[in-house]
Amino acid sequence: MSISIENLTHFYSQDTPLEVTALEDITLEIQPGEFIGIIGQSGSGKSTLVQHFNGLLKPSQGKVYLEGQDITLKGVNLRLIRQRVGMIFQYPEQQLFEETIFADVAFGPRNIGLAEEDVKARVEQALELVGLNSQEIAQRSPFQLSGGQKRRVAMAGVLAMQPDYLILDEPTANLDPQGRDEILFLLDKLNQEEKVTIILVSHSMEEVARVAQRIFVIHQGKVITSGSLGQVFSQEEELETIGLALPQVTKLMNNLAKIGKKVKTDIFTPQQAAQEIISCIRGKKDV
Amino acid sequence: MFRNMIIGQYIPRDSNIHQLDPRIKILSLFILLTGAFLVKNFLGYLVLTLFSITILFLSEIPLKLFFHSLKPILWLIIFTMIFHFFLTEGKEIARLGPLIMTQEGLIRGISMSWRLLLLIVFSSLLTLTTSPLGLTDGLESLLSPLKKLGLPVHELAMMITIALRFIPTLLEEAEKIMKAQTARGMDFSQGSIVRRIYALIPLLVPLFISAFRRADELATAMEARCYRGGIGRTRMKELKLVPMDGLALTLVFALTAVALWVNRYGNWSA
Repeated sequence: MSISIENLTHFYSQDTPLEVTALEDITLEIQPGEFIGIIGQSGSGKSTLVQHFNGLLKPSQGKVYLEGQDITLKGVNLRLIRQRVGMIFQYPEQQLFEETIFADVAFGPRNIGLAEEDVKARVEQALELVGLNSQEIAQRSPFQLSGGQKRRVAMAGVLAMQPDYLILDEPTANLDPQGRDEILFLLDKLNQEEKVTIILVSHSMEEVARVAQRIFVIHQGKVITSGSLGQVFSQEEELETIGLALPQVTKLMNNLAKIGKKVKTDIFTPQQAAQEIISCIRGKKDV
Repeated sequence: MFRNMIIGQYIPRDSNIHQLDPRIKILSLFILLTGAFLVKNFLGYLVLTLFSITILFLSEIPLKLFFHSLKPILWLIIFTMIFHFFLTEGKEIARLGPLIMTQEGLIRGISMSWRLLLLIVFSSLLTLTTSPLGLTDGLESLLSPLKKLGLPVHELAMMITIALRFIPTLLEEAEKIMKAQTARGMDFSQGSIVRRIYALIPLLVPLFISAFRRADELATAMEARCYRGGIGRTRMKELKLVPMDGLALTLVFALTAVALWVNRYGNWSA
């Protein structure tokens, strides 16, 4: 019951002189209910990797299993797989095309052949989920909305298909801090309450550290390290050689520990850091 | 899926052919194409073919890449050949059911596809060795006499440059939107023709919106840099003819003349 990748290799422009190896011998497994972060610099292959999870790309070598089923085989019902493994691309607002917000969000559910009543229920639910009032905006044109709202409508379009797994490629790119917080909050809620498995692709350690439970670090088409936040962030030097910085709070705690303060270093959000520092200071007073 | 298209793609190298003035290369192409149309005999084709092979080697373009770029046109050539083989009237030399292959057809088929191949090889040699920018600069310079007739030559060249610049961008974008809609359960390759045409709406609407947005942004960016058309505009890279260019053009003239001259000899006329 998982997404499982075995020895996946992907070439672009295979068998031409322009052949590039985008991914090399990747093996990983994602369990239901997890919140996964996939991190790497632009061009590292992270977007290419996640497009294998719902069959948008076929591996040049290797296998992709969704709950035990090999989705690289011919004759697999890819539509069903894409309903179960939802995918929100970078700048999803650029895929909006319908005349009304309702019709745009309903596009996915209609494609998977739902009855019109179910479609309506799902559209309303999805719009509420992303924090938009469906009664108010459903009949408006998506092109009248602000950038942040457009993005949320586009996300609703994927959520309305009620996927079990949700892949997001840089969902917070180009958003202001508030918009970013809202999206991360929404993802956390989906994971906690709706039990959706989330796979968040990002180049920002800060962002991934706030929400993910387990991370994979991709560099030049290979998984170079993976594990819990603590396990990965303890390899500060390795991460920096490939151009990824630790979250600033984690760095701060590392530095505090270096100068002899008795603080934990497996800290990834400002809230945790504040608490740890407070308890450290109080602890001293007690002594 | 669009990544594999490399027809007409520029391949930067440092060869003599790359360094030729784009105007000379455009003129040469024009002369050689005219030659290929006028030559009516295999000996003439042979001269032009040998010349094109020489240019190909001088241009330092990897052979594998060159032949790969010809692949899409192969079918056109094969069909031309087959149609001529069987649809030309004349002396019968073979029979395939109701289809009759004639001697005249054989000769014409081979010569037409050879000619077609020459046209394509020469044209792709130009685009493979000349950057799109060089190409439009050369075109602008060659067409500049027409300015006197009121033709907006600079503006046309600018439009061509911009169009060329955005082809890969739009292809990439189309691929991205297609994937996004596929992820929402869209199927672009199944169903009746009507359904497939309707299936294009979710692709075309976002593509047009983004093309207009890009056009708007580009216009603003150009205006912010005080672009106001061709009048009084100077260039960072002036086109300048060097002796090598003269030599190249003379060679092209000479070889085309040879190809036309040998036209009179040999009895394989086609």
